[in-house]
Amino acid sequence: MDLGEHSFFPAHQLAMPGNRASDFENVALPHAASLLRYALHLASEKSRAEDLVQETLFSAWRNFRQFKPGTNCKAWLFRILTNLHYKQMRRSGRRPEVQVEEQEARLAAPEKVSASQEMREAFARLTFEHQEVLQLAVIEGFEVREIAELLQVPQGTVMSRLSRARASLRAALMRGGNI
Amino acid sequence: MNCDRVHDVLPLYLSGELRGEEMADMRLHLQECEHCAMAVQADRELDNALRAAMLEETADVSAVLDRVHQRIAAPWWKRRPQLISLRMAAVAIILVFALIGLPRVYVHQAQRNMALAAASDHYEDLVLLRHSDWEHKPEDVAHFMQAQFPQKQDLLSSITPAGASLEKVRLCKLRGTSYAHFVFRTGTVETSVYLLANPKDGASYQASHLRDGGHGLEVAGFSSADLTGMVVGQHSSVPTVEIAHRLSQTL
Repeated sequence: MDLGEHSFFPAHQLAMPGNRASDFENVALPHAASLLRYALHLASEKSRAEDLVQETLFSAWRNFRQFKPGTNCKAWLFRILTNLHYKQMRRSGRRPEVQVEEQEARLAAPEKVSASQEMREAFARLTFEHQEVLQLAVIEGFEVREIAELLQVPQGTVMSRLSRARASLRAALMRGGNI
Repeated sequence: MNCDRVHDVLPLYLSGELRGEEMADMRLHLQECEHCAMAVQADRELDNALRAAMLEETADVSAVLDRVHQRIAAPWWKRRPQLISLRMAAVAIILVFALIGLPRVYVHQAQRNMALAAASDHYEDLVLLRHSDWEHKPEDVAHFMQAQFPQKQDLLSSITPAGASLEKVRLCKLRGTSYAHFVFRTGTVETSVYLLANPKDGASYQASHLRDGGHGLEVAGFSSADLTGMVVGQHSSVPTVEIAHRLSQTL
């Protein structure tokens, strides 16, 4: 069996019925890296982001019989992760942290950086909401419709937020001297 | 299609969601308008550069996958109990003590099961987003209310918690019984109200409060002269007992 670079666990190693195991392996687990990328955006600490992804995958595994084959598994996993995150935030009374000032100060230090590094730093200077829509649309490849469902906002809001986010990113790059 | 419209639908075009006539109009406009064509190209290049830069630093997910693997590969008798399972066990112990220690507070088995089913349904609907057959639009909600509660004209306003607004409603099955599941939102706090759909005479439950009904939720049941239901919310965030008490008095 060709597992490919995104397949992590051969079905025969998993103590569960063959079809369900291989389906979970092939359909859900390849999205683990994407989930962690998004979790790192939502949660500021790496350990918390990893716990969030772990809990998401556990939850997905427990409920995998409910998943309809052929539907968008990545969107389903992201919904679970987002809901778990906001549920934890509500429980702990925390709010998203946006450390713009700290990042600005760090970026002010003169140093030679690559174009990719400049891009990442410009992205880091964006607001939480702008980072979120760009990450979901551009990096993770979700459609506007899916992002609207995930963030529980109208599609029009996602579209305008995306336009503004791209403009902000371009402005941040110009300030950094990349454009 | 004019330049303003191109700007409006550009996110859909870039994500490949633009279809049919609008897609054809967009293509035609881009052939004719150099300014818009350049803007589209610039956004594409920006997206490509952002994607490449962000994916260059790949998040190391191996530690998480190791833990997931250990968990799902282990035989069931060796699995570490989940937090939720521990909570459920704690709830069971509390319930046993409550029943033994407080014999006068008799909680009917069916009601307790129903409360757990409601907590589970709330979790599935609001965390896992398992269902999509919700009514959101005011006219659809009005139609739903007319179909399920034809004798109760102002029911929706009566069950809306203070300061909250209705987000959505759907018909669900709790242990084989149809309930209308209302979701109310106050800021980020969600409160579920379950009402027995198409209530008939004779259906009755005692009022009860099941704290920590699984998933950190609490459930408060109520029954009034005509209606039976439950209120579900996050423990310490939603005053379920208060809401249930009000509903038992006012409905």
